[in-house]
Amino acid sequence: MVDLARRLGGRLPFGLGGDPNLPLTYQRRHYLTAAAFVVAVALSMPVFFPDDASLHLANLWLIYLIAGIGFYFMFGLAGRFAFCQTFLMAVGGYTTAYFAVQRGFWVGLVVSIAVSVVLMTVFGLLLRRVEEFYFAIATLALTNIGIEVLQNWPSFAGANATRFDIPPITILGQRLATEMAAFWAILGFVVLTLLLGIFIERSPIRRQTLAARDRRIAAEMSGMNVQGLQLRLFVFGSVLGAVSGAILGAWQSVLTTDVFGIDLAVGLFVMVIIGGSESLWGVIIGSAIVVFLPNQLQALQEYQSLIYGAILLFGVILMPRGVAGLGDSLRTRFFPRRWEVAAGRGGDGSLESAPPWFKGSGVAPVEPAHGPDDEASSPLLEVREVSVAFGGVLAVDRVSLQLRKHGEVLGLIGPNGSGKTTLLNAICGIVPYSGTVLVRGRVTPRSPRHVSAAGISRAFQSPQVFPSLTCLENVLVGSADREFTGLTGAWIARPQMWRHERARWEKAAAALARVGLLRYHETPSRLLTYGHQRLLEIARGIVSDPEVLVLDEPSAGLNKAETDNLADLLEELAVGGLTILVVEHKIDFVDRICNRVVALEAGRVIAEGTPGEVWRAPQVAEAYLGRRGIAEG
Amino acid sequence: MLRVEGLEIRYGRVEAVRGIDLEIGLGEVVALLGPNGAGKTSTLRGISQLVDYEGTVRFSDGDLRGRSPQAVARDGLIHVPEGRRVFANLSVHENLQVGLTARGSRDGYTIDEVYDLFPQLKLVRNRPGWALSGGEQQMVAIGRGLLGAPRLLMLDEPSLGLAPRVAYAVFDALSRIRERTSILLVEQNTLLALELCTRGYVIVGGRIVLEGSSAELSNRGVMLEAYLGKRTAAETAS
Amino acid sequence: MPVGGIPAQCRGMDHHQPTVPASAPPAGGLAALGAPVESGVVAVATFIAVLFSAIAFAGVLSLVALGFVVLYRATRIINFAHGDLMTAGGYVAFFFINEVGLPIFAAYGVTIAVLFLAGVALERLAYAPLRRASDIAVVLATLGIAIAIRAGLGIWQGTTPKNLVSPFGSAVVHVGGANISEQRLMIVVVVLVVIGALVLFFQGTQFGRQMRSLATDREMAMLVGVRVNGMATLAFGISSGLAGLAGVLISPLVAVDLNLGFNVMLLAFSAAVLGGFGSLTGILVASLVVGLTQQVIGNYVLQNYADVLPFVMMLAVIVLRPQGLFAGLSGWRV
Repeated sequence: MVDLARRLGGRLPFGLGGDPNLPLTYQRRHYLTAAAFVVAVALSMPVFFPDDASLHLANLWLIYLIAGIGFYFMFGLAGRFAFCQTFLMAVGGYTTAYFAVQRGFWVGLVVSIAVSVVLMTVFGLLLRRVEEFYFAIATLALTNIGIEVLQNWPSFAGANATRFDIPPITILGQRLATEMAAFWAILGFVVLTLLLGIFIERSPIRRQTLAARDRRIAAEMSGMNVQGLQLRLFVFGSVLGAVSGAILGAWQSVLTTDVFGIDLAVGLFVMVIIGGSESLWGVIIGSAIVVFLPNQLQALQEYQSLIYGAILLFGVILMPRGVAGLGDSLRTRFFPRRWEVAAGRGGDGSLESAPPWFKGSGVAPVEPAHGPDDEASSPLLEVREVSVAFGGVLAVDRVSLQLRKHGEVLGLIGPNGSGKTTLLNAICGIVPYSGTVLVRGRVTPRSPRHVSAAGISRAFQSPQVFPSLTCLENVLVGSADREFTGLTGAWIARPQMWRHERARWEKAAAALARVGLLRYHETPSRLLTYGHQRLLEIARGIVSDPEVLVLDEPSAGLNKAETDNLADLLEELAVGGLTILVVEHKIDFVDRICNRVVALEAGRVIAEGTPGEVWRAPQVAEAYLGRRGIAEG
Repeated sequence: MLRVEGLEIRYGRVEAVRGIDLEIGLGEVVALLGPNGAGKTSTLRGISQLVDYEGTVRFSDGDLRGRSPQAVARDGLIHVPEGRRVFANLSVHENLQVGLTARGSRDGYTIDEVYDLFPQLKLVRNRPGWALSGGEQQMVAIGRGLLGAPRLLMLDEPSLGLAPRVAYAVFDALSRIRERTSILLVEQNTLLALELCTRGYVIVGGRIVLEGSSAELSNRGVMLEAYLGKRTAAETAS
Repeated sequence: MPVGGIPAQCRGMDHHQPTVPASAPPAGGLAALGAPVESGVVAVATFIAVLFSAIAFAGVLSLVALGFVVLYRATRIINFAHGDLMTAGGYVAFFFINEVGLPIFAAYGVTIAVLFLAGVALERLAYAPLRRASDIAVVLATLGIAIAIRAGLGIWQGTTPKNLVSPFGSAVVHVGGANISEQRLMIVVVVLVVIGALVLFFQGTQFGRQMRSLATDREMAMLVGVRVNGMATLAFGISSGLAGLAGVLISPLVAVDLNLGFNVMLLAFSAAVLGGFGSLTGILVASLVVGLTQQVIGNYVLQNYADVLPFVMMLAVIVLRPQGLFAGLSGWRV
């Protein structure tokens, strides 16, 4: 039975097994699932919600679902631990109510969306550098302050922040005063929310958010504006909260602050956690459980909070991937993806054929702009008198070096503590430094994100691959072309986004082929061997055609075969015109790939020249083995 | 007293230690040498049960597998890790006092004896850890280890980051300690290490590539090549 | 349920919250003084009363903040259930006084012991299994426990607010023309004694040194032989005990309802953040600042927003100087 499903996988209607003509993220049938959900709810309405009382509950569920989806983007995807969603709901509810009395619901809705955008953008900007715990209690503080303000503003929110006079939603002059009418309107809002959400899921935003959440520095080094992205998702999630509150007020026609308490805030957490924090569909299931379960177990009404608490506690321990994890396990059994099939057969998840959408051959090198050995008009990389101080200690002391030719490979050697990695961090803008770093004669900016745009790509000492993403997605994150990778591309300019995406896929696949990993394009990067993760990082580094590729101990942890493979690859890239700065230890490796070597000790340059010259220099031997004449002090 | 057989350590997918055998007898002073990243620190961390490993570690004929690091310390196998790791918020004296935790009922250095060994510490007795110089911190770390009455003291790179004069002072103290305590010393500075120790192992790439007496290991040419991976012990002509 | 803010009963003046039952003890001790300044004598008396009110409240806050910080430093766990442990202290005391009939001070002692044991139990049953889990998992678990404790208390004792009688009844002491309830004085005395004991414990005993070393560098503490797991359990016990004590001290002054602890905990967060989250002096001073701001400013100016002033300050500190106002200054470190 399972076998049959696998074999039919590619040929089920609506491509239920996934459309192999697209990369993995886009294979998922978002629209289908959303449509199925909406239709199911609409059709089952007379069956499951036959009377006003149950329909009331269904409406409540859908309203909370909107807030839950917003929270999913804020907390599940962007990873920001926030308690302010209930406050946003209150803002939406009261603002809409205030304006709706005179101008109708829709005006109120627009105003509350505007207010929440402004409010949360300011708040998000103020707190952009704050780390997780402080951010969380800052949102708690905001919520407290906000609710208190509402309670003290009778002219806006009513005496005691209670309003009885909220007009219902009107469509084309018709007041939606019945549960049934409200149901269709709310369902419409849910459809719109799902659409906006799906547009985000089916766009570069998803992979960027997950990358930023898992490996922030590496994401920034790839050129991503992490702060901006997280802020946008935070604000979007907040807007959904406000919308949810607006509908709540109009539907109930009564609003008090009681409902926007800690219980609802925890309920939102439970919704996202039950679903598995990386799944949009999980929120639907989670919200249904949060809303319907206590109602079903009438006898346990009293124990409702206790059950929430228990769910939160045990859910976190036992089911870290939530319901979506279970769903995934089922899907893998019956409709496995190609790489899962390959992995299941005792393989490592690699596929035998290239992706069907890939036009290149992967053998030709990434187009070199210059031939090797061409002396560039200005040095490709120039480091001038760079010093880095950590609390009084000079980790790097007035170091200068230059990379002048295309295809040149410069090695940086030195014992433990000599400042090699710190120097790399300075060049890449990760630590502050004095002195200047120039790429092609232009001073580089001092932030990782802009350094990448200036033409420097970096691979780290332990490979920073994004574990939740496939290999192709990992490389895509490093793409130089960042057009239409944001909300505009996701929501408004989708055709343009697709165009650029296809070009990006092409380049990313070519980079993967270059390092020999094309067959893993669908495999999640966390399943790769260490050596392959190294190669993946390098692929991500070269996809943006950098001026200089900076590598930090690339051969560390590799066995002989992997080291040889890596040396071959680096030689080919250098011949193709790529300029490389590499920190290394192994004498054979350095001999093989480096044209020149610079030796550091205690932050200073102590020798420079060809590898042979440097290894033979007496001060280098002393640096590694220890100095004579300690007794002479 | 300490016997390590077939030690293998991996961090995720990276093999840091690929099969190491060591033996330290009672009263010995042994060096563990090798370049950065060779696996020396990982070896010590495996022995003191801070990380998972494969193979066997026996201390005083008891297998250490499954014991907690604090139990191992209380047994007398004291690990002074690299980076000194003085408790920043405690004063020098309090740091030393905490070192007594591992002592149990064994005999060993008293606090006064530690102050005799490191007279500079008397002057900064009440200064908090974060305000100490590198050399002072190293002395505190060693003194703290000594107060646990070690049967074997494992020191990880005590000279790292210290000015030459200071490193010399530290090793001077160590030469007095070695009369009372067995020592396993991990060091990058081979000269200092070989002056103190009677024999040593050289670890490169997670494996032992050379071992011998201090005299044998003092051949700089051979050592440099072993460090930089040009040849393995098997290929070393002699 | 209200999301937060100071329970009406903790504020000096009640403006728009008519929820305090008639049988409750004088809310904040100041309801009798009601109207603002009339004559010089009354003004001074009012001020002194407000001052003591602030100091007493600050004392309770500092106990809560200390308990929270001690736990965080020893285990790196942010315990969102801390406030609800304080609520539990109030409820358990009520139970022992009213239903078991113990004399008041005995009930207090038993309550604190019970809370200590509850902390130990929590550590063994709920937090130890999570030792390897991610940070988010642990925080969510503490949230879950917070809700569970609160719900459990509600099921056990019902949701109507409880009123505990002070061991001193309504006895007052006259200072400068003001009536200061003896309860408040006791709070100040007890807090000073407890803090003194804590300082002695942490600075002067080997156990205390071990816990401080564990708080600074857990792995290194293991390497000197500190039994870190046992210490963590002890830290949980101490933390819960402090929360219980705070609950017991404040309960005669306010009506104990299910939200009490959580709300006070949020204020204690403010104090902890303001105070730099680690230094004892910082926490004490910050608690005083929070207490004074809320009571003093709340009485004379900005009555309506007295509750949120501490949160505004906390927000400002987080934005401008996340390490707190006092971090880096010397002071006893817990």
